[in-house]
Amino acid sequence: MRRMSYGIRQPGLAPLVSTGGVLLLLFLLLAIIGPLLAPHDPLLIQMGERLRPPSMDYPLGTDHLGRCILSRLLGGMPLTLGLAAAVIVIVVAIGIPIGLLAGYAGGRLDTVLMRLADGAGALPEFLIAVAVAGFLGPGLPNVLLAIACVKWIGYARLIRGVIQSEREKEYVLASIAAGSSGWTVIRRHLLRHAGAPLAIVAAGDMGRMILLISALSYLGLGAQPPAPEWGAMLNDGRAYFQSEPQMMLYPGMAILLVVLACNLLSDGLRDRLDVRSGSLQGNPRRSAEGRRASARTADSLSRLLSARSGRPRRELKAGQEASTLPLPPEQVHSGASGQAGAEPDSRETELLRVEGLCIETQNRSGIKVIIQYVSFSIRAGEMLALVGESGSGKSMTAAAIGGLLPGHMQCDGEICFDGQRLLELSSKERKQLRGSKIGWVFQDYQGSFTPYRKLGSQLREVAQIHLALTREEARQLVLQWLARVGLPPERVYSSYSFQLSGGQRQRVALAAALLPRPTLLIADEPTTALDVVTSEQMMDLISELQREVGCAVLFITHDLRQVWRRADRMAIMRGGTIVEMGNAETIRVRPEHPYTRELLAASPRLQRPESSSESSAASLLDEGETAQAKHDRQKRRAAGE
Amino acid sequence: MNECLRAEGLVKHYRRGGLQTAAVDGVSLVVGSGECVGIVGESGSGKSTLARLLLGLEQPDQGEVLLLGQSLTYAGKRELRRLRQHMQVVFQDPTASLNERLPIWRSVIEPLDNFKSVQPELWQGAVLPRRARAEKLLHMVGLDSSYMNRYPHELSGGQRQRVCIARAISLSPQLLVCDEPTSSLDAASQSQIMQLLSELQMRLGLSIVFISHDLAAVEQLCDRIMVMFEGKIVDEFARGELWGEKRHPYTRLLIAAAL
Repeated sequence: MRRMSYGIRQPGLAPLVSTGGVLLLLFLLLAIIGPLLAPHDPLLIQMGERLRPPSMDYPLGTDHLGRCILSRLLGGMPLTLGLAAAVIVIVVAIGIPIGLLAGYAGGRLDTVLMRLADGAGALPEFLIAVAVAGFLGPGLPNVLLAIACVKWIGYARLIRGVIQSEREKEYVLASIAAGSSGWTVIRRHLLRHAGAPLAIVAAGDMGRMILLISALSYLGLGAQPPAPEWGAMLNDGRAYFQSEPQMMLYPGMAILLVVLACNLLSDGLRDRLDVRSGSLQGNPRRSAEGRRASARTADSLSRLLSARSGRPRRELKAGQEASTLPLPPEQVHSGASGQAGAEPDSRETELLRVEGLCIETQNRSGIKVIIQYVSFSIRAGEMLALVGESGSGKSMTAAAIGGLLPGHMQCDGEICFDGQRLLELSSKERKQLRGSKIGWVFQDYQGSFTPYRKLGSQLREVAQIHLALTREEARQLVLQWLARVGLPPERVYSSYSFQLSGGQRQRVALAAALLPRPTLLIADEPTTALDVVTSEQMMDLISELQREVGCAVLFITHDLRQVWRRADRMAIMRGGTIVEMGNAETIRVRPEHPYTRELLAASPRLQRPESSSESSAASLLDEGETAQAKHDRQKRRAAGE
Repeated sequence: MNECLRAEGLVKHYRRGGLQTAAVDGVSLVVGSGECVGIVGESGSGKSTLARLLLGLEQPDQGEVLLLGQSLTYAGKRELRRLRQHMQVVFQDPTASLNERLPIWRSVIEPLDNFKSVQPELWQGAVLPRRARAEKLLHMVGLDSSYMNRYPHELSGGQRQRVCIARAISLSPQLLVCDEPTSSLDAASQSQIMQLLSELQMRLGLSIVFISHDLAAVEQLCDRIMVMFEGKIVDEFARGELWGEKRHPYTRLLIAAAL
């Protein structure tokens, strides 16, 4: 419940930990020195001083036996807090080693532990406490021991869960491969991960224990009179509630405060111990350092850009994180025949036109600009490749076209699709458009389909919604499309998504996207998660169907190799702007922008030696060089030995 | 050329839905010292299983792995741990291969913490404190000292992979097994990592087993290339013979995909 309101982390959350921690520390300190501060003996009965109102002598008044309420509150502290802490310590001390063992070793011990945990999970601890008290007689130590006996299982399970989820990760394998023993892996890696959830749960449980102890004492099963336990004090006050409410008020408030402190601490820890939560980290120096570093790079980049564009950069609003700078559209390099899409006379054939698109996001540290003045257009039936490294804003651009931007992002500029201004449409109209006129294929084929329903019925639904077909017609169409993307139609129709390989799932996604016959297909890194052979087949399929259906394709990728033989035009994106745009072949032969050249040099390609004399000479040179280097290396090695 | 790693008739079965499938089916290979061998194949061809077998992270059902003439397969626990100092690994996903709760410098010197008595030739006899070692290693992979105290999530994918490489070379191992080290990176970082690997190989005289689905990447770095398909090595050739007449049809398919 709480978590949801944390959607965007506010700086104000950081004090949660400190508030909770300070309060709890204060209480623990009071528990130790409190009894010394008490003005009276908490057990001293003075019938002459019964039910006195607060005075200098008795700051909170006296109870029905003339005992000082303040002294009893202070005297009760070590009892309540001490017992709760003791239970937590016992429980953690038993739970950690057993959880570690079960999680790391697995096997029979693991099975037994899990069955025990299932059983214990079915029993409310309060019920157990009452039952034990009935069996062994009232008294806190017995009852708490009984609770500890059940509660450690939860902790063992927690530790086991953390370890099981972490132990298969590659960093653990890397650690084993680096020669760590099992114990070292646990100590160095796994316990580190268990620590955070453990602290969070323990802090929460501390509060729950205090409530439990008070409740038991209130029922007369816990601390026995005349012990100054808070729950017992509540019970004492019950009879006088009408006339002397302070007898219940003060112990009640004390319980409330302590439990609140524990819960605050637990909640705060949950936020704080998440390493990834940026500035909420433990070490402020480090994040400050990081911020400075990123500011430095942003600054040098901005200087570079403003120097090139020859005009002063737009002033950024205070607090704005200048990660990129506006690059006016006219600064975009365009290849020799690249103007085709931007020419006004070709506007009739334009299917999609994006002009001056800017996207900003608002987070803790202010407004961050993600996309700046991006302009491009796609003509009907053509393939435009949007190329750039991760974080360059390719996917954000696509998301803006589809109206799929997260809510905290602001979008500005103009997106014109088929004569409609998309940014002015209602979300319902855009949704309609998204399914039927604009098809999508995403990178993450795992997430494209729900694992709970058969693929066939999911695809059929798409067909029924967008094409207004009957159930049977839709089924036939889906089968047709599955065959078209090269899959065995009947089998895939009745399969679940997890029963297919990545390449197959991506084919199904393509079928789903093309089935309503869209005029634009947005393929957002459709092959990044696939291996080379499979992605090559996938790309062939996309171009083939593109010709068949006649739709335009916006193809987003970081792999230049896939662009050459298929895209008509391409746009290179970097840091939220398009740095070069034009005919794909022209860019391949004569890249204008230094970054494009860099990308070209970076993309690994096999080159047939005889394909051009220049490249074969280069590869020969390369070979000669490595042979020389190898020779040197062997010599060095021999000398070393 | 001295022999660094030898695998003989490796077989590894997996049970999948009641059916036994051989992920690795009779693979033998030899890696000479200072040699770089590439293993290419599509996903599901058993490359990663082979990597784990070569690293001794899993036991083969049949066959044996020998590192510098000593058996990993029949080594005792302690002996296996001792042998691991000569062989390190770089995995595909640099995010998963770093502990997100350890600062970068602690991750980098992890192997050195395990082998306190080992004095890698990297240091040329100098006895350095732990932090200084980490700093030096990070410099070797092109990261400056400001990264020391950062956490993995503050780095880009390429930078994280550099950290993994720094960790892998910290003990000056004889052999580096790279399991798709560039597959999860974008093109620019990919080529930087490839460059770094080939630089380090020359500088340190490393043997490398480089596993990838991308023939173009393998061809950049490796002297010898093996093609894996359904758990078997179907083709093996020196780099120069890539365009030769005798290539297996599957190799030709891979070549076509990487053109």
